[in-house]
Amino acid sequence: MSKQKRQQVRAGTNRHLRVVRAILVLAATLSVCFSASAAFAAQPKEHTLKVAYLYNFTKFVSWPADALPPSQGAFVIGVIGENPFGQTLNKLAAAKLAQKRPIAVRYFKSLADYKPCHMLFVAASTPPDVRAAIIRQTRNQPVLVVGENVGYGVEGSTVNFVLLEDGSIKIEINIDAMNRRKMQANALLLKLATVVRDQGEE
Amino acid sequence: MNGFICRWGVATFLATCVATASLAQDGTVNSLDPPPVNAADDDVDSDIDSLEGLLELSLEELTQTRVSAPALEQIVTTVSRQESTVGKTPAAVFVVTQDMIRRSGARTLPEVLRMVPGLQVARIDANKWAISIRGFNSRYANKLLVQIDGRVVYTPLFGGTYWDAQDVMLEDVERIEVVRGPGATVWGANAVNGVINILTKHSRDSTGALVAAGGGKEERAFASGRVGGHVNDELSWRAYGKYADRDNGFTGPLSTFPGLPPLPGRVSDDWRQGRGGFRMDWTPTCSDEVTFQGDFYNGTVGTRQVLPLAHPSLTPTVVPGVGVSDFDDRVNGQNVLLRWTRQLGEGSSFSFQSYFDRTVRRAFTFSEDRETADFDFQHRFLMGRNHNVIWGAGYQTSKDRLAQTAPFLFSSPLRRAVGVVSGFVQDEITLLEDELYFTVGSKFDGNSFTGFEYQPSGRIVWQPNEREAIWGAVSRAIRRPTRTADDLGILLLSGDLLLGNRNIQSEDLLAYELGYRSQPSESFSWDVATYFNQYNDLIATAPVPMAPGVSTFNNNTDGHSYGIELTGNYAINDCWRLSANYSFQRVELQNSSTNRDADATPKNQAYLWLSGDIRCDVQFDLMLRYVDAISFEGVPIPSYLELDARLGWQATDQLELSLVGRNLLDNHHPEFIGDPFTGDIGTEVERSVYGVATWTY
Repeated sequence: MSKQKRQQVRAGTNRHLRVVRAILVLAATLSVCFSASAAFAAQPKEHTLKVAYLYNFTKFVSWPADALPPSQGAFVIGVIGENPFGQTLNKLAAAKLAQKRPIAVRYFKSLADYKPCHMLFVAASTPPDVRAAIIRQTRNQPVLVVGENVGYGVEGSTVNFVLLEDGSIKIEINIDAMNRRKMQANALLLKLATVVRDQGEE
Repeated sequence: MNGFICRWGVATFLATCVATASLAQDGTVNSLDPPPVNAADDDVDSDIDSLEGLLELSLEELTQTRVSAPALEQIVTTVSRQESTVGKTPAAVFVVTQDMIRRSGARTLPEVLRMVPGLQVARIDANKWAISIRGFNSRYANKLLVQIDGRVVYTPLFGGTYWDAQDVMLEDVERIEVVRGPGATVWGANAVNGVINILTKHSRDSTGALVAAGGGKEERAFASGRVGGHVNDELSWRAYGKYADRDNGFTGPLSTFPGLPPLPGRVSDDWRQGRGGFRMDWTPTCSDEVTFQGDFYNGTVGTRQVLPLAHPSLTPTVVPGVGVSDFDDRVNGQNVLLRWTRQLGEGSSFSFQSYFDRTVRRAFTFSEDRETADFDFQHRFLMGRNHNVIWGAGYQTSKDRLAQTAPFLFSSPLRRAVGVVSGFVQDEITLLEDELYFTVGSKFDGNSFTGFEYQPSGRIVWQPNEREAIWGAVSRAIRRPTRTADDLGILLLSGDLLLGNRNIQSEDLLAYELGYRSQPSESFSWDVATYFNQYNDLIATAPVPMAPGVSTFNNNTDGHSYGIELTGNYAINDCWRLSANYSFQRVELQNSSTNRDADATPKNQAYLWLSGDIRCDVQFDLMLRYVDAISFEGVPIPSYLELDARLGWQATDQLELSLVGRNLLDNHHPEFIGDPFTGDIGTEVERSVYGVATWTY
């Protein structure tokens, strides 16, 4: 047998061995895949979970009495920036009460359209300068500003969502901002959240 | 050439001015359209189901809830030319992230692409690759659209990509999106079997200094460096440079052609290339973004060709009339790109992009100088609450100058400028919010080769819940003829003459696709895609009747292909993950004089990747890949199983050391053979081991 022929034969045998090995590897992979698919754990979308948080904030934060005159008007939740909730927030408004009153949802085109509300959600798409202007404009008003951009907490937002790599959401509460706005977070909320202060405060 | 650049610059400037002026009146920067507010929505969908569930949870339980599906939330832009997520995308899409690139240890784009399911990557020699999606592979594979940061990099000479000239600073790649199946409705001609879209990082995400250097077997020596920073809040920049010197492949039994004896000496297909570039991103207002970037490269790539004539510089072989050329092809190129994007409000934006690209290739048999200018505009807006419309228009002109440097290949005419005017419109219709989407659209273009063409598609995706999606698509795509099929004359190794045919028409594809993806648990996700492609009027070569020894191109080949692609990801625990993919594909052609396209497609391909952290500062990756046997031009190439591995150690905060081994199971193995069409000779892939030190500051 010529050297080339021998090589070809050897290549042929190797080839069969490799195919068998590859099939074994695949079978192992697939069995792992199917055993794993048995575990089916439900997980909500990021902004559905955030709506649930917003609802809980209405329960665990107290507003100054003059911000919520007795038995008068709705609890207003505003959204500024590109609406990330789809219809979810509207569904919350249709299903639940906040501070014993109906929930009204307002969407603001820009800061110029902003009308006072009890809770203002600042969507991630809002540019940094607009985010800063929102803090300036509502600085001492009883508005629970809720952001979702890293660093917005220490920049003066009362509450800030931070999405962690494992898929959980960290809540930051800026107690300086809460105090300025004469609002208070309940002890349970403070315990579960990360308390932050204004940037540059000692 | 200077005149051409000048004209491109002036045209870009004028177009920018016109666009600015026409949009100045609605310059309501930062104005957001009011989102649809419909208080009572009675239809109960999964969204409110899970919202209702969540509202029942205590605050403490909420803090333990994790949000869904990072795998399905991966951002992709290639399918619809706007940001969407994998979960919502009605196409077979795979995203290679920066982390995957780093962990693969690969040093070139083709080596990175080996991990993508359904993609065929075969190395022909040390610097040439055959890369295609869903079959039809060869060095001149021509049914694939490849883009780097929005710049098209396949050459209109033959409709394929010279992979030896395409490279980027791999550390600065944001992600590579690979779409299997037609993308022609938004991208146009050549996006027939798939799209590879390479996206580099925004310059604000690549600040600081990075130096990587290393070397070893096969990857003899390489170094790359980048610096980047902020001028102020609005303006960020980076600049990079890299160089690599790579060894030749193994001269094996397939380093010749059928009927020829082994050729004398070793193939010197070693290659060297230097490259540099920059990117600047400027955000003058909160809704405008301007990107300016450019690259240049220069290199030599060793090529051995077998040629049919005696020529003074050819080495004679024992076969009379056949000689061998060992030649260092010179390749170089420069490009600049300008892109301006403005957000107009919720769901509405436009962008204008323009680039100029110059490539030069000096091979033994011919030289190609090419200058391409491209202008592209796109606008996206919401129409009512259920229509997300995107439309655009573009113009591209590509001017070449071919020259024969030896009497094997000639072109008539030697210079040609090819223009394409195109437009597209696509509407994503929300049939059920967060659940059912239907996308319909078409591309229209007029070009110098075949006149008017249209490429429509319809795609539907249904997300019964947040962890699953089912999608289907029917689309038409065409591949335009190229300079090669139109104008070239090539003296083949057989002594026959292959002549271009100006009456050639576009190739036509009608593709049917169906797919499913799911993330049943936090730790496991998988997807499957199947397709049936009906090809008509494929361009192939055939003898000319009554003219012995002459063949030409025609559209007489029809055929079909079908296949299935399966991908799975499993996080074993916090430190280790396993991913695997398998693809089966089959191409069947009728009326073809050669079956090279059908036979060059491996029936089965599999990839298994174990990736983990041994300690928090030590990373380990093991990649096993299997490619079935193929045959190209009647030459059988055996199947192979190969193993790649990488060990990385973060020695200090700033220094990472890694050791990479590739093709560890064999001393050498063939993946493809050369191409008798041009006489290029292939070599085998050898085992390679190299070390890399990466320093960041």
